[in-house]
Amino acid sequence: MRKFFTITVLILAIPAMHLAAQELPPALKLAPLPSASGDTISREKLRTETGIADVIRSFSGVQIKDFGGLGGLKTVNVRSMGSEYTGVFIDGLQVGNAQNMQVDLGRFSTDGLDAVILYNAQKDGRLQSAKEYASGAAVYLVSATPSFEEGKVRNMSARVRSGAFGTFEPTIEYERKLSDKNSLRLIGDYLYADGRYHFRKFDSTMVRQNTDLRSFRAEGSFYHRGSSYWNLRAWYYDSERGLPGPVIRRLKVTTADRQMDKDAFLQGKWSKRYGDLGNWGSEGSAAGKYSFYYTRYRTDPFKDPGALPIDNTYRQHNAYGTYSHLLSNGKYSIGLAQDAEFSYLDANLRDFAWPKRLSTWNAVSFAVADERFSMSLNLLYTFAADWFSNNKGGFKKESEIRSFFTPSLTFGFSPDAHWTLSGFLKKTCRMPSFNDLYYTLVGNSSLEPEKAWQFDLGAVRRDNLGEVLSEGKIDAYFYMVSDKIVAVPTSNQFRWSMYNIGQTRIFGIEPTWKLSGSAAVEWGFLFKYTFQRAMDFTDRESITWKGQIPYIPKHAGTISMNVSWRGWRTDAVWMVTGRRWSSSANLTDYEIDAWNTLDLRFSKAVRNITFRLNVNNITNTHYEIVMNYPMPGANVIASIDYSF
Amino acid sequence: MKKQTLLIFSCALALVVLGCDKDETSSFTSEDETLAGETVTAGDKDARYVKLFVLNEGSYGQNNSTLDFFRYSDGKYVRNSFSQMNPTISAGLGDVGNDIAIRGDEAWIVVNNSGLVEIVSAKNEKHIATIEVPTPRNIVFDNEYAYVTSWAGAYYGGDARKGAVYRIGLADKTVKDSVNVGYQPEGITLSGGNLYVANSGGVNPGGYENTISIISQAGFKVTGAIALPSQKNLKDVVVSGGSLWVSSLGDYYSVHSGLARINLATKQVNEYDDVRVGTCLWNDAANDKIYVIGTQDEWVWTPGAKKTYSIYMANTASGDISEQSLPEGITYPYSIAVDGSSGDIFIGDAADGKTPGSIRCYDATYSLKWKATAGLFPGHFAFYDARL
Repeated sequence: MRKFFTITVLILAIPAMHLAAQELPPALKLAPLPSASGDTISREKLRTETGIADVIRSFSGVQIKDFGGLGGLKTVNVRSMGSEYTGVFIDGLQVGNAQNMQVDLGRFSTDGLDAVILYNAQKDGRLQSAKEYASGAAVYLVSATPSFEEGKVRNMSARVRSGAFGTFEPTIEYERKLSDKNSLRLIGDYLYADGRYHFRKFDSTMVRQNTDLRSFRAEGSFYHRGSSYWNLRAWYYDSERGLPGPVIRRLKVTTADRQMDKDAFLQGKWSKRYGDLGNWGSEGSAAGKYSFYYTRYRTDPFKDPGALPIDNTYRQHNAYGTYSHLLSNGKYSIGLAQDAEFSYLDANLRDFAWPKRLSTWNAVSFAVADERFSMSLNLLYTFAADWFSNNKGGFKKESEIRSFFTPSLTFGFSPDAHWTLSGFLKKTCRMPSFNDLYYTLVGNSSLEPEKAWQFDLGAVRRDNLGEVLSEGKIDAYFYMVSDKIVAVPTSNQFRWSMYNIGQTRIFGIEPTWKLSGSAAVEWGFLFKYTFQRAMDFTDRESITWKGQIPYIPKHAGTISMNVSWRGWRTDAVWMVTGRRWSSSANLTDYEIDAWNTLDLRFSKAVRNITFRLNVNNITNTHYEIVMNYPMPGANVIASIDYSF
Repeated sequence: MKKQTLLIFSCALALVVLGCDKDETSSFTSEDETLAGETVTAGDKDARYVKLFVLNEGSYGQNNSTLDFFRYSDGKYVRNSFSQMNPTISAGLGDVGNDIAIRGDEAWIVVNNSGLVEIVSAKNEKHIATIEVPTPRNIVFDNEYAYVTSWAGAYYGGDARKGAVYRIGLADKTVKDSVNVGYQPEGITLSGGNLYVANSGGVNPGGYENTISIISQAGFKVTGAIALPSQKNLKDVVVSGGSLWVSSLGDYYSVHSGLARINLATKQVNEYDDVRVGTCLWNDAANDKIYVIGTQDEWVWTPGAKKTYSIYMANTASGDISEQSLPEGITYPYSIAVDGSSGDIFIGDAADGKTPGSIRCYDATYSLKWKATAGLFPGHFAFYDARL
């Protein structure tokens, strides 16, 4: 696998270096496609947050499923489709996880990022990989190309973060200008935290146990910006954490479960402007990625008197490659993309299936765009072949092929300088994960892909009121998810199985109002509200019929403000989430209380030192996002950033 | 401080209850009569039993096991009685109730993932005592001790951990000692001075178990084992009609679930391979009968496939098995109990496992008498008879 990747990278790198020397026409001029413009969080705001999860939760229509504390799993679910529908892309390449199709946001940091962008439906960049059309929603982590002040060839910064949860986190970032076209960034980060925090449950105040987290993260990125553009990126994450488990009735807390992770990826992306053919210009892009995940989960019966000895390891390999090509005359464009990926999961479980999957994605997109009107039609064909071990766990087949065709249409219209109307309709399918299909005693190898239809209409009004910019936006959407993969108990006690039985219909409205000013004092104000009615349409006879699906609030909103003045910056974020239920049976027994938190951020830059103070949940609200997994109360994290 | 208050409160309550008993000997009264309940049928003051307890397992990790009961005198079904009668125990009954057994006026409830055996008054569900037992599964009594199977036996390292039987003194309600048995023991019963323990090996890396451990009651030592020839992953054990009856779940792909009869005198084993097991065994001791619900379609994993369930009844005197199809309207049969005196049959329906289950009561001819909404996974029944 590693060899395969090395070869891929070389294949990509050689023509890139070769072509870089030639003189070619300037970049393709394309009118923007306002229809699928993403919701962007910029660099300044990113710097005020300590993790990606804290950034993403302020997007409209987003639920972060957070198991609490520093080490608790954090996944993102956009517009109630399920976290498997949300693709997370790092510099345009997806963080793939064939095992459970979920990305733990807790592992990624905001360091070195230029922006975090949420696209409902998909990014509409025209020159993009086929997989970028495949998610129901996409979160892009966009890294910044290093920039250097006049006469400088090197940037360095060191930061120490400390405070609540026994956190100690030193970080070092090094950027180097190798030539006018080439630059390099290296980031190293170490985190240790005991993770302990107080919470209230069962009428008493307790301390969360077995919550320690230790992690080490190293990143290296290489950027080339000439007549072609390419970057290479290597990433490594190594961590060990305690798993505190749910808070349940126990006389003593003896939980001692541990999880160890080693994640690594190496990715390269290249794009190139080719020569023109009459009015038509063309551009090509290729990318490759190899990723490896190692997870070990173990219990400790010596420390936990009730535990059975479990020591499970999972090893996952993914190798991915893509080539895409765009032809455009400025107004009309045609894009073609071809992707392929191979995934393999190895585990030391009894009766494991050792699944392998070869997937391909083919996409064609047609776009027309001028200053006023734009439209793009995208056709995606997905194919996946699985191979797995037969004869154990009730599997009847040795291989399985799944394929589907998913179109999408996006459009935008700007009648004047103030208004933009946009919308999309899209079909998305989500492949069953290896866990859905092959998890020993639970998996069901005959699952079909889940299907979703997404319809969205939105309007934006922008006004320039002297020194104040105003942007009001409203989006309404209707999503339908069918053949949802759901765990259902079987006729055998102890054994659950996965079935394609769920049906969900989601209707939502998301008004947003943004104001910003940049006179003597720079300031911003943001109001976001999300109404979501996510109904379970699975079984007309059941009490769950038309019930709000688990963990989705009907009402959620954010008000945030920021003020910057002479090196000072203050941010305040007030988040409100309405009541939710842990089951589609919306009974009081399953109700999870509404909550709201107020977070404050202060920073002050004095020459090349920046002091930051993050005061989270200042009102010390006790709340749960996932039932029986309490969230931390008030906490303070401080950091000092020194650049030289 | 809290415990003391609770103790004083409990004592005061006991006095009240005693007082009531003296005043009205004809009809049983208790504080839990004030609890709101659903009237599901007409009251019957002359019924054989006072109550039928229903233990809802709840979902693993959600801390939502609950105790319901059906009261014969007023025909009411009362949900979540433990929490209602013990508001000071705000954590409730705990996580995954796995067994309930009545001893005198006490109900002993085994709460698996909380690692507790809860003792409550069968009269009014007031908390009496809590005993810690790691990963407990099932319970049985003799005159001196309660015996609880547990997945957590002595551990000396390695990738497997033997199960154990914990012995709890009835007088002081404390754990006395334990003895190691096979992997992941489930059901336990006693007969003729011996305890019989069904070993499952349900999560054992070495594979499923097919043995029953024998423990002498006198010495509390393992004295032997009985192995089944082909059935494995053993679940419940019941002594009836002079034989030991064992249910098993199989391995889910090559060995089906089943029922076996072991002659305790000759140790001869007879496996009934046609019986399917999806619930706990119910022992109708008065009539020498054993009941269990299962389906021949237990390996059908096709989405949306309808499964045909049967109620299997073993006549333990003759050794014959009869099969009766499950009445209509039950989604996921999860438990069965039979009132041997009236012939009434109670079936717990776990529905889809995410929404509240239900209890249905049928007469001996399987015509529906009443139905009540229960909690999540209504899995275990126990009759309370005040005249015991």
